[in-house]
Amino acid sequence: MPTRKDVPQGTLDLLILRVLARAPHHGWGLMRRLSELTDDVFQATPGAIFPALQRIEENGWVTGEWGLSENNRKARFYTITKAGRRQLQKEQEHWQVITGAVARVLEGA
Amino acid sequence: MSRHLSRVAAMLGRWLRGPSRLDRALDDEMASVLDHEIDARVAAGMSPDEARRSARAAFGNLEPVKEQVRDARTGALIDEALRDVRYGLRGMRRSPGLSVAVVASLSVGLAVTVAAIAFVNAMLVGSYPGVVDQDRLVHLDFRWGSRPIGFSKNSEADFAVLRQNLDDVVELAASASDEVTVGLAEPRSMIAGLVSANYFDVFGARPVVGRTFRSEEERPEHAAVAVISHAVWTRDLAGDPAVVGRTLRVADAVVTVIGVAPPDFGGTSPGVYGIWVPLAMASRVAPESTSMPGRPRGLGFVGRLGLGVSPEEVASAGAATVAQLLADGGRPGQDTWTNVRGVSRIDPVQRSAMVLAVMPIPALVLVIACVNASSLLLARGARRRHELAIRLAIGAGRGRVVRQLVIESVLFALIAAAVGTLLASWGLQIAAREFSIAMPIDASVLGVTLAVTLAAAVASGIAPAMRMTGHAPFRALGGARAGGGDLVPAPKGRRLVIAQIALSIGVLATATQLVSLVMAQGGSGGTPPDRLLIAAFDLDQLRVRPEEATRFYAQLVDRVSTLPGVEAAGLARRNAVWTFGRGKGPGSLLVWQPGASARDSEVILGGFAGGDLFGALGLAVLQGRGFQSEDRTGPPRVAIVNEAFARHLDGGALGRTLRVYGYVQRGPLTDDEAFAAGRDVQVVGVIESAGEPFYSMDGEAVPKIYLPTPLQPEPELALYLRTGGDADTLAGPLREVVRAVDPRVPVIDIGTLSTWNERTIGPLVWLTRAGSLLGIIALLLTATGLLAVVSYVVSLRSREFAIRMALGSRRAGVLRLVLRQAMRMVVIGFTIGGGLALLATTLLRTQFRGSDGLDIEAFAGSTALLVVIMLMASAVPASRAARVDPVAGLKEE
Repeated sequence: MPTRKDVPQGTLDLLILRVLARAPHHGWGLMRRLSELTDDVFQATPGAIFPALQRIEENGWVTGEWGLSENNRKARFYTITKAGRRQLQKEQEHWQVITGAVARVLEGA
Repeated sequence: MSRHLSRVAAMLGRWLRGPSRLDRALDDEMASVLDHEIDARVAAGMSPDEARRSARAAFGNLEPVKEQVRDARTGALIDEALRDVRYGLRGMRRSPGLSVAVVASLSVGLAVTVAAIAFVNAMLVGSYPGVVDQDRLVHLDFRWGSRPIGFSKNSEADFAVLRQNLDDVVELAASASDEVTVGLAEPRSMIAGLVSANYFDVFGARPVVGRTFRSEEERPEHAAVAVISHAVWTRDLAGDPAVVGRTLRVADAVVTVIGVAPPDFGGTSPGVYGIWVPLAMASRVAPESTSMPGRPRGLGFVGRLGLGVSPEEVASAGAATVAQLLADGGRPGQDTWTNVRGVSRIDPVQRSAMVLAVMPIPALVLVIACVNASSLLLARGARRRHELAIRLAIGAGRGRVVRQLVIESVLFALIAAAVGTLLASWGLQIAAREFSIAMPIDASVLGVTLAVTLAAAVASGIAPAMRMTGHAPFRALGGARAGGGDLVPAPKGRRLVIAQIALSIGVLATATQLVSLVMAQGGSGGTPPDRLLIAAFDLDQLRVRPEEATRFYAQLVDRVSTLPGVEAAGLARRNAVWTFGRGKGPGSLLVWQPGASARDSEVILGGFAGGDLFGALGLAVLQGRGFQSEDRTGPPRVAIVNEAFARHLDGGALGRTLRVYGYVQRGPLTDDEAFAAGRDVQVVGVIESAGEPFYSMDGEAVPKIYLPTPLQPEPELALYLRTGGDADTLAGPLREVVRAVDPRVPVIDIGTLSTWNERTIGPLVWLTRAGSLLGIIALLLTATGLLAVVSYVVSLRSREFAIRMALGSRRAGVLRLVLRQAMRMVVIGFTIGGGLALLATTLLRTQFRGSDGLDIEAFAGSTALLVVIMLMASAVPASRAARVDPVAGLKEE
């Protein structure tokens, strides 16, 4: 299974920000959502997600707050910020550029 | 940009709130995640227990995740480091004895290093006391042909022109000096500076009391003023706060004191001057010398560079001015030479020599201290093997643990650096007094110290850290007490101790050899240095006639010879026997060997030898005879030479005829004129040579020739007294005799030969003695290291000792066992160290001539010291081993 090592750091940030752009999630919920969306291709483990979240939060792209989850348990919810949306935009554009280039090589070579 | 700001803000916010709060939040979050996973599995149909088990299995251990999150924080490294520091401090409190030993060891090493660095720094900068902004000062030499400007009858006029013309690039001051007699409580002879009014201003020296000269005081009618030195003010005038306005008698003139110079100030010759007067006063306080008539006073020039002006600019401006000066004064045509160089106390060649000479021993002591600390840390680490093993087992990376251990070493080193700097500053104060150079611990010294401290910390910490986190710790987890094996610091620990022993014995032995080598450099003759009293007089200052001077000296010798305790008394110039660093000068003789042409004269030291000079000096007559009473009348007809002179005369000296003439008398005469005016003397005796290795080339004695009566007027003579006991005790009685013969005559200088030697090679002796002290310190450091290592080995092997004693071995046997092992290390270390010392000493002997051979006593002394100290260091833990109760030892498990 692809693990954290297979996903470059920038890509992981992109995925996390994209999910959080839709709606705030708590840590476990984010993990679950990522697994769902990718059909379990990316198995987001705590060891992958939480260090990334720590960094993303420190960069000011999300804010974290304690709240109550749907299970009525304490959980920390992450919400994207304006700066985060800007970063998401940048990462998305960057991703288009990369994938475009890769596609061209694969087709044309 | 905002991202980085945000991260820094996050880091600061974390520190303000306290990382432990965040750690608790992290724990909560991880717990929350696990709970949610369990809930999800339960919702998917598992039983609660199964859900819990499989959730934990799926996520694995969340501890590493927490570590990763912590590592992802900005400034995580700093957090870790701080945590390590707190941990290290706790650790220090837990084993205080060892911690103190490590800190003490490093403190000593660092103290020595800091002191050495500050010393070298001060010597390299070489700042003169009382001088401000020394790097803007320059020495100036102007020459016309081969004659220096400033050494002629026109000196002062030339100076005035130079000063005015160079005013826009350099502020020029002039100075000359002479010995004068000043009327204090008793007439005192001192060196006076004869200076231009701006002298003090150029040096930037601010007076402690009163003021310095004003420009109008360069005119003769206003020049009867003086600035006195700080030493004279405190010693002779009792630091009188109302000293300004007091009058002093200087030679025949009366001057008014206007100020006191800063402590130790002396322009570029600190400690020399007692008083300064304007140049215009020169003729009144320091008239022409009767022994060197017609000799002009030499003016030296020193200047302060203008803002942004370079020495080269001054040199070219100076050359232009000098050329103009000569042309105007009708002295054209000769080429001129101008030299402008910075004012520096140590010339560049000596600098590197000094650094090379001073740094090795302190560096070695530091190395020994680090090695010592290393051994101690290793011994301490052995006690922590359980704790370290567990940490490594739960996944802390080896690098992480090593980093933490090294941070502990850095902590030790920083504390040691603080203590060491305190110790060093105390030692430096003593050194500063000895060398009369300020030796501050300034920013650059501290900077280098910090770098050295960190290097020392890493050096002493890394080896133990690597060893403690190697394979060995895992063995410890097994619970078995290692009875030998990897944890015993052997051979590595043993090698460290052997290295220390070798280094410290090397240092100590070399240093003690050095002391005796240096001591042998001083002046020596047959009479032991502390039984020879030398007192110098100068009747020139009193402007007496030659006959009066002769009468004075004759009476002096007669009366002094009757003092109790005086075995012999003789007269000669101050540099007629030992030069004390001063080379040829007045009193030297021009000597022509038999059959030499007028041009082949040599300049030989010596001159008039009155009274029983050779008896006083203890120089035996090797051939022929001494002077007799019939030689003492009229001009000299005979001469006595020393062995060094005789040796370089083909066919021996006894009976040969030499022609002699006064060196200074010669003055403007040509070779032929001097030869014609010379006297023939016959050599009637050859005496032993007096030794002075430091000041002679290749350690050879300096050739000397002595005459029974003076060839030229000799108002400046020294009295040489051989005494039965300590010569210092006769200084007082001697002064009384002088006062009785003629109360006007000052005693310029008085001291035993030991004192004179100390003064000239004193600083060198001080340095070598300091080196010996360092050697002893190194030895003590090594002893503590040995103590630690042996204690450690004993503690590890206590079970073994218990078994031995249970099986019948006696306590003495155990004691012997431990001691034998310890002594084996000592012997090996001693052999290596002794070899090193031998090598070093042999090299040193090529630099310092004059010593007879290895100072066996010193070597034996330091060896004995080493053996005793090492025995004591091993005996303590050994006796502890012997006292191990067999039953208790065996029960320990």
